[in-house]
Parts: sequence; structure tokens; C-alpha cells
Amino acid sequence: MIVASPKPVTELKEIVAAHDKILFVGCGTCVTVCLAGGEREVGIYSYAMRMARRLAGRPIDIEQVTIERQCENEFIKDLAPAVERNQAVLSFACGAGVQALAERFLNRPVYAALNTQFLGILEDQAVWTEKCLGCGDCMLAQFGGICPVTRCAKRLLNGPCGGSTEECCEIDKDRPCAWQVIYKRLKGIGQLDRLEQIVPPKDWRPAWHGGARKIIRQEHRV
Amino acid sequence: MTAAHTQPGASAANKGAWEPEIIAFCCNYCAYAAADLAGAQRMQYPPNVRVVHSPCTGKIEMEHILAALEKGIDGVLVAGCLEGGCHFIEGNLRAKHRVEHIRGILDEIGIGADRLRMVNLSAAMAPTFVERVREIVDTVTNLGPNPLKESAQQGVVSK
Amino acid sequence: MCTLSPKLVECARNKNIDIITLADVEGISGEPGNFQVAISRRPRYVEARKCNTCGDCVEACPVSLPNEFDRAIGTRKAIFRPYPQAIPNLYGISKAGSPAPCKAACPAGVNAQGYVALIAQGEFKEAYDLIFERCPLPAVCGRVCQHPCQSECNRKDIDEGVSVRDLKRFAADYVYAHRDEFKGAPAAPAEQQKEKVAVIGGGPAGLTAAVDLRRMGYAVTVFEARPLMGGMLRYGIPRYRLAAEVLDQEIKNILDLGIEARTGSRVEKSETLLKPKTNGGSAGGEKFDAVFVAIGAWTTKKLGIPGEDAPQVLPGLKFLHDVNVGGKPAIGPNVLVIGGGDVAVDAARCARRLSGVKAVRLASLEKPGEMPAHSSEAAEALEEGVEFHNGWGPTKVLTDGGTVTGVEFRACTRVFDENRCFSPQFDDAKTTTVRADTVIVTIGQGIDTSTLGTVTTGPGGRVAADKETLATSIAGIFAGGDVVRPSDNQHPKSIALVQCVGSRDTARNAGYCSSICCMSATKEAMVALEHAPGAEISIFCMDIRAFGKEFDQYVNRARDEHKVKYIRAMPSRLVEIPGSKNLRVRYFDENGEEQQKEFDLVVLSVGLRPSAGVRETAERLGLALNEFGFCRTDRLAPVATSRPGIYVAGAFQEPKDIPESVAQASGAAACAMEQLASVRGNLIQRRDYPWERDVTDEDPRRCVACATCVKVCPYGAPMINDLQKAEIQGAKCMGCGSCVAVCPRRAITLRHQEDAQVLAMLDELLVADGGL
Repeated sequence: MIVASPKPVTELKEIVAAHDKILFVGCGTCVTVCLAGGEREVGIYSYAMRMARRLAGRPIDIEQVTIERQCENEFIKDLAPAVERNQAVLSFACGAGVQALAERFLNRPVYAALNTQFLGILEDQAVWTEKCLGCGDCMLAQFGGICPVTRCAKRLLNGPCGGSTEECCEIDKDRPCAWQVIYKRLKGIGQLDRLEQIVPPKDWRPAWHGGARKIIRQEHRV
Repeated sequence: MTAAHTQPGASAANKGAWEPEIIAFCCNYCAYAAADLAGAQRMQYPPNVRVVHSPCTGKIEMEHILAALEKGIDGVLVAGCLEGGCHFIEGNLRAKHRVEHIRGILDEIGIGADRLRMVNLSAAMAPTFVERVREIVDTVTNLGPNPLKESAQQGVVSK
Repeated sequence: MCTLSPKLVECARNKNIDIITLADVEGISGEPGNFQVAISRRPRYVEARKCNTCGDCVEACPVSLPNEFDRAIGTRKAIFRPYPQAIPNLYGISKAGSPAPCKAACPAGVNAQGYVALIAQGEFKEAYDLIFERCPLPAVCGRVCQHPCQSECNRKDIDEGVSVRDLKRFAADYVYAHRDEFKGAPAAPAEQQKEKVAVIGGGPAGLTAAVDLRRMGYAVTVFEARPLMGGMLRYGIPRYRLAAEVLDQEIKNILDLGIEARTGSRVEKSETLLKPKTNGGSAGGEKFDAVFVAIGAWTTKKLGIPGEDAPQVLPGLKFLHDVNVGGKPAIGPNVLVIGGGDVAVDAARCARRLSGVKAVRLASLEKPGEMPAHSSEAAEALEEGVEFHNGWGPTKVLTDGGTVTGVEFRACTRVFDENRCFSPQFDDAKTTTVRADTVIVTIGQGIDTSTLGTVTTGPGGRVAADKETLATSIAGIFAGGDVVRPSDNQHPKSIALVQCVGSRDTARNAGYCSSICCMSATKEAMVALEHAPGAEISIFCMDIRAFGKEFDQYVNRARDEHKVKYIRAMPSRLVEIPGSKNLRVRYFDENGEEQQKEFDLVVLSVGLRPSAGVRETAERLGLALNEFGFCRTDRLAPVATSRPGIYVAGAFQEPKDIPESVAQASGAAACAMEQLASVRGNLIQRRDYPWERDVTDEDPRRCVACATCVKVCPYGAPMINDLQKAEIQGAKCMGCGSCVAVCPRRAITLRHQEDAQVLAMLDELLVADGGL
């Protein structure tokens, strides 16, 4: 899932400062699940924004709506009348959703309310961790399902660095050393021999280094 | 009892007839029972508080606290069971964190965190309930009216 | 109120409870499980079905009355709701013995506002009938009545009173003119009585009495000394004011009801008409069961001054009589009428109409505005050339050889004293003489002064006493947030409350405990301290019975924190100390020593007594009372009365406070239900709740299956179902709402705590209090 976190109210205030009639759009998919941009957050930030603006002597009129997925045109298109009614849109989606709206509604500014963080999972209630970098060339099979590209601070592919202490990363004492996790995992599934193989330097071409990526799959094209 | 408390607006003489309005979200098992007991014991406390009954402080939605303040309530008291004593195990702990979060937002937007407070008490702690009510009434009295009150709309609202 | 109101609301909203207000239970018959209750209901004067309690009527109502709910400290309007939480929440009008001012002013009690309203609606015959109910002479009264109704009419505050008299005349004239359309005289008596009644006197009083008696079914015979019926109407009132045809018409109407009239038959002694009490009395003449004497007041008062016996001095009534029977009284060209009343004006105007009369003068004690004569009559007399001499009292009739030449007057300085009582004063130094050859004396008619004596109003004493009572009735109540002594409005510094006054006192047949006074006195003490900080309060008591939940703590708080003194003693005597008006309380302390203590104010906790109507109610319902006058119950069945199937609750049984009454009422209701157990569920209405939708098997559409709810629930009630959506398992859910507050899609709701409900509650708290 895409994990995002809300921007501080102060920042949002500045972002929408120029408008006094605005549409807050929540997204019902990833950011709802990661408790950052669902109906509830849209509600809370609407209250906060309205109060902040009233205190500043410039009341703002906020319309709230949460759609199923902001990255899907089928859902976005229904927003058109609401967008038309307002001066601008504050999107509570991930960066993809924000851009989807921006590209669809050409004559209205679309702002992001969230900081889109990473692809990750819910580790514990309200604790999210990054698990995938989206490098475009997945190597998880080799590492017992634990991604050193994402979870090793140095992205080492052939074992831990010398800084790993007490199973923890030298960058962050609270973060487990990815290679420690990989070792335990491979030991558990009886594949320690994989560690014997030398992994060649990673091909980063499928990753974002070449600019925004695009995938076309003809079998699904209509 | 203490005459000063029967007239909470007295210390804010320059604010004329203003009396703080406080909403107390009370959980069913402790705080509401404590408030009830305070009444049964005929204890006197400021009449500025209006109790909203909730099954558990863990049910109190953040929007509702914000809504109360936006509607012009001068202060909000979230009253739950003692920590560790929640009938629903940790509803009050969740409420505590939510209250902290909203206090942060209130500071950010300029209303001030002090208008919102969470207290913990058991069903038997009627005097504590009374004391906490007095405290928030005093605090809010000193803060003055909620700047979002309709009547405070005109002119520049400073904080 | 805080205990009572919710109960009232609950009762009112229950579809199976009928609240019958303004009702008296007249009696109960039947046996347990099958009672018949006779109820008499008083009118509300407001249509309950239409009243939506908007309160506009209160704004419009001009009549303010003491508000019983505020112990008469404040006022309410005549159209009112007893208190804001009243159930049923409807307005009613109190007609507390005060009819419309016009009706109240009418000596005959004619429903003036009623017939005016009927005439306004074009119901002329109905208007006539309504008048006839109380006054059998509508056309006559429509002409000559002094119409106090018009003078009292509320409308005069705006412009002038409604012309009630002329409307009455119109109704009567219209009905007489259209006699053919209105067939059928007023209803004949319902039932004939065998008794016969004689009425002596055919004037307005006699005729009215005759009609009333006839309508009640008695045979009535009217004896009239003069040749024609009508009395003063015929022989006193001048023809120009009341034409004979009108009078004849109305007398005919009355006699047509079946009343026998014997004119020209003077009854010398009324007793002779009565049937003898024992059989075989005097046989001569017709005999009656009752006699009504209505012989009028035909004698003219005398002036009591020298020269009055001269033949040219005429009694006013005799003069009018002579004019009315068509004779020409022997009067000279210069007529002087003495008197300021209507009769005086009538006499003056009659004299003015007689040929040969050159000048008519009228002399009265009163100044022009004070004359008791009707102002319009006086004005017309003035127009007709009657000369007024106001403010003069006669001292002597001047005669020359037995012939009147004039009357000597002295100035009258005042007619009425400060209490509006007739008490003239004169200035002997200022005199005048009015020339006259005929004097007509009209200073009042023969009235038995001994009967008048009883209706003399005292010098305002009564009213003052009322005011005094009103003042004392609000004694001891904190007016304007102050504790004041009712006698002199001083702020008391020391207050004593004396308990068990008239209760727990076998010497006064009140051996029972009044039950509420201990806590009331304690509360009063605390409240008094709030309003009068620093006051010293002592409560004299045998003991303190604080037996309710937490009551003892309250008493302890009063004693320990607020320093209310509880003195165990029964005061034997209260003495007012002259000068300071303080009260000395004498009592024996716990050691038997006599003590005395001075207080600024003493409040007696008078024990509750059965209310005034209890005995009557109990008799009507057939319930036995105990020796104190409360409802008798058995110790082991405290809600059962002496009559099976009738149960008691509240202070009718014995003094008790509200919570106890409520508890007892629950018990009484349970006992009543026991009687009805076998037919439970019959004849009841059920409340229709909004249609509910079972969503157990439906796809939860909002849910995004984030499973947050699953993680927060302490009972494991939410689960991700086969459709990969969250679902709350009702059997496990305890309703804490943890999942509701946490759901990012706001897909979960908690019954009675839904978003809209909570927001509405917040709105209400803000709006209902109007900002506290």
C-alpha cells in the first residue's frame, strides 16, 4: 500500500491561502487505510481549516467529498461539478491521485494535502514501515522475501556492512539490519546456500533514474 | 460553597455578562457516573458545563470535539475512566492520544490547546469531577470567550 | 422540577397513559379489575387539539393574575400554562370568578359580551334569547338602563365602550318587528311544580321574579296595586324615555308565559297570602306556598328643613307618577327641582315639557361632574333649558302666607369624604336664594337604611387587610435574591428553624413524622447562607431524620462546612421583643436546663397536613382515612387502600418527598398491573418505530477493509468476512464505539450516538441555553 502522512495545518493554511471556496477530496483506498486521507481526516482538517481561517478573519467555505480512488478516472469524473463549484481542490490522495486530478481539471489549481511517503505495510496499529522501493526489477526471490534494496540503508546486495551491531542498522539503532533479517529468514526456510552466490551489481535502468516510468501491457489493452 | 465559583464570569469582569460554555464528553462507566454522583450528593459546581454522554471516551470522535469548538463552545472536557480502568480496556488511552493530537491542531490554528482537556476519574470521584470542572471553567474564564463565537465575529480576532 | 419533569414527560409520551386534566373524580364503582370512574371535567377554554403552545395568546392577554406556581410572588396572564414543563403542554384560561367586565357590571348578570358577539354574527334571535335568560325586559332595558356594562367595557381604554345598551334595544326591537319569523316563545318550563307563588308588585323586580319562577315550573300570580303592570317603569320613568307600547309589549310577553296578573289589587299584609302552617287555618281567600315581595321604593326622602310642608313642595316620585298617568300636576311657572340624581333630571325635564312652566331650575349639592345623574341625561336637560345650580344645599323653604316663594341655600364645600362616602360639608357664610313657586324634591327614594348598613364600606380597612395578607403570604420567601424579614424587610443575621411544629406531636393529634422537613430545613439553611453569607443559623430539632441516599452527608456538610447549628431541643415559646422585633426562643436543652436565645428571624417547619380536599376525595372514592386524615394503609401493604383494587401513592398516604413518592407510585402501578396480569397486552397501543433495515448480509459499501476496527475492538466483534469487508458481530459487540471513532471511512455507526445525533446534541446545548 502507498503510505502517506498529513501535512501540518500551518502548511495547508499557506497552500490554500489564496482561496475562500475550496473542495477537499479524500481518497478511499490506500490513504484511507493508512489513516491519512480518508473521510475522517478530510473531516478533521476541514474543521481545523475553517476555524483557522475564521480566526484569521478570512472565513473559508469548504466542500468535502471522498471518492473511492483518486487514481482512477472512473471515480474522478464524477467530481467535475464539485470542482467547478470551487476555486481550487485540496487532494488528500497520494501523489498519483493529486496529479490525476490536476491533469483532469485544467482550470482549477489542485494541491496536495499529504506527504506521500512510501510503499509499505502497517506494522502495528498506526505504525507503518517501508517495504518496497519500486525499483522495477524485483530481487526478493533471492533474499528470502526480504528486500535489501529497500531495507538496507546502503542497499548492499552481498551481505551486511561492518556497521551492523546487535542485529541493528548502524544508521538507526531501532531499525533491524536488513541482512540480519535475511539471514534468519533464509536459515528458517533452509536456503542459507543462497548467501553463497555473488549478486552482480543491480541494473537500475528499470528504476526511476530514467525519469517517470510507463508500462504498456498489450494483453490488457482494448 | 465558594461564592466565586457560582459566578464564573466574575473574574472576567471586563467581559461583561459572558459566561464560559463548556461541553463535557463523559464516558458512561466512570465520568458520567461521577457527575451523577456529584448531583446526588448535591455538590455545587459551576453551571457552565453541559454533559454529553458517550459510551466510552474511545468513542469520542475527533470531529465532534472540533465541531463543538467551531460552534463556539468555549472549552471541552473529555472525561474518562482512570488509566487502566477503562471498561473497554484502552478506550481512554486512545482518547488521550486523540485529545493530544487535537490540542496540537488547536495550538496550530490559534485557538489554543488549553480549551481542551482530558481528565480521568472513577465513578466514585464526584469531588474530583467537581474540581476538574472548576479548573476548566477557571482556565477558560481566564482565556476569555472562544474567538469563534458568533458574537466575537466582528473585528480582528487576535490570539 | 428536575425529578418531576422527566416523569411527566415520560407519562405524556406513553401511548397507553391518558392524562385527564381539569378533572374531578366524582366516584368509583365496580370491583378490582373492572372499575367505572365518574369524572367531571372543567373546561380549559382552549381547544387542546389546536393549541400548539406557541404562546402568542400570552402576549395578547391583557389580564395579569398572581402566579400560583411562583407562590404569588410573580404574575401570570389569565391565559397561561402553569409552568414551562407543564404536561400536557397546553394553555388554559383561568376564569377565576371574574366574568367579563360588562357582565360583571350588569346588576342582572346579563351575558353582555355573549349577545354582542351573537349580534355581530347576525344571530339576532339567539341574542334576544340570551338576554331574556337573565332579563325579561330587553326592549325596556335597551332604552332606560343606566348601562354600567358600557362604562366598564374594556374597549373604553382604546376609544369608548361598546354601545351595549343600544345593541340590546336593537336585538329586542328586531325580534319584535320580525315576530312572524321567530315563532315559538322562549321554552316552556320543563316540569310543573305543585307549589304556587305569589308576587307582590308588578314592577321590574316582580316581573323578573315571576318569569324566573315560572320557568322553574311554579304557578305564579302577580298582585299589582295600580291599575296597570310595570311599576316604576310605567309610573316613574317619563314617557319620552320609555314609550308605553314598548312596556306593554314586554309585559305581554311575560304574561304569555302563563303568569297570572291581578292589577288593582293591593295586598295589605303579605302574610295573609301564605298557606297556614297547620291544617284548617283561615279559609278565606287564595293561599300560596311562598310570597315574594317586590313593592319597590316609592317614598321620597324628605329634606328636613323648615317650610317643607307647604303644598307647593312636591315629592319627586309623586310628580312623575302624576305626569305619567296623564294628569297635569298643579305647578307654577317657576319650578325648582332639588336633587342631582336621575329622578331629579327626569322630574326637571318632565316639568319643562308641561305647559305654563316658564323656568325649571335644578339645585344639587354636587358639582357638575359629580352628579349621580347620567351625564347624557343631564346634558340633554341642559339643552332643553333646565338651569343648573350646582354646589348648593337647601336650608329653608321660603313661604309667604303658606305659598312657596323660593328656597334658601348655603354653599356645599364637599359632598364625598376621602373614602368616596356621602358626607357633605357646608359653608354657612355663603348663601343664596332661588326663587320658585313649585319645589320638587328628588333627593332619594325610601330605602331601608338598616339594610344599607351592612353594605357600607369601611374606611379602606378591608382592602388594607388584604394587602397585609398578601404581604404575609409571601413571608419568608427570598425575594430578589435576598433573605429579608417579612415584618420590616431587615436582613436577618441570625435565623432559627424550628422543626416538628405540628408534627410528631400527639397533643395535636399529629403523632406522625412530616418526613420532608429535616432535609427541607437543612436545604433552606444552606440556601439562606448562600443569599445571606455569614448568617448564623440554628435548627431546633428532636433529631434529624436524613434517611435518603446521601442525605446524611448533606446534613454533615451543613453542620461541618457551613456551621449550621443543630440544637436538640423543642422550643416551648417564641416571644417578640418589642423595639427590635427580634424573637426570643425559649427551650430546654439536653440537660433539661431552660435556655433562651434571640433570633432575627424564626422559620417554623410546619408539618404537612392532609390537603383540604382529601376528606372529600376519600369519601367520594370510598377510602378510609387514618386518624391523622391521611389515606389508611396496612404496614405490610403500603400501597393498598381500604378498598380493594384502589392503590395509593405519594403524600396522600403520609408525608413523603418526591423520590419516595416516585418509588411508591411504581409500587402502586405494579399492584395495579397484578390485577390486570391475565389481560396483559390488551387494549394497548404500541409505538411505531421507524422502519429498521437488517444489514447483516449486505455488502458494507463504505468499508475499505482496512481492518482498523478489528484491531481496536476489545471484544473481537469486528471481523473481515468472506466478502473481504469488515462486519460487526452483534452478539460480541458491547457498544463501546471504539471502532466508530477509529474507522477512517466513517463506515461504522453506533446506534443513538450517530454523527448527526451528536452534532444535533451539541447544537442543542448551544441553542437551547441561548449562550447560557
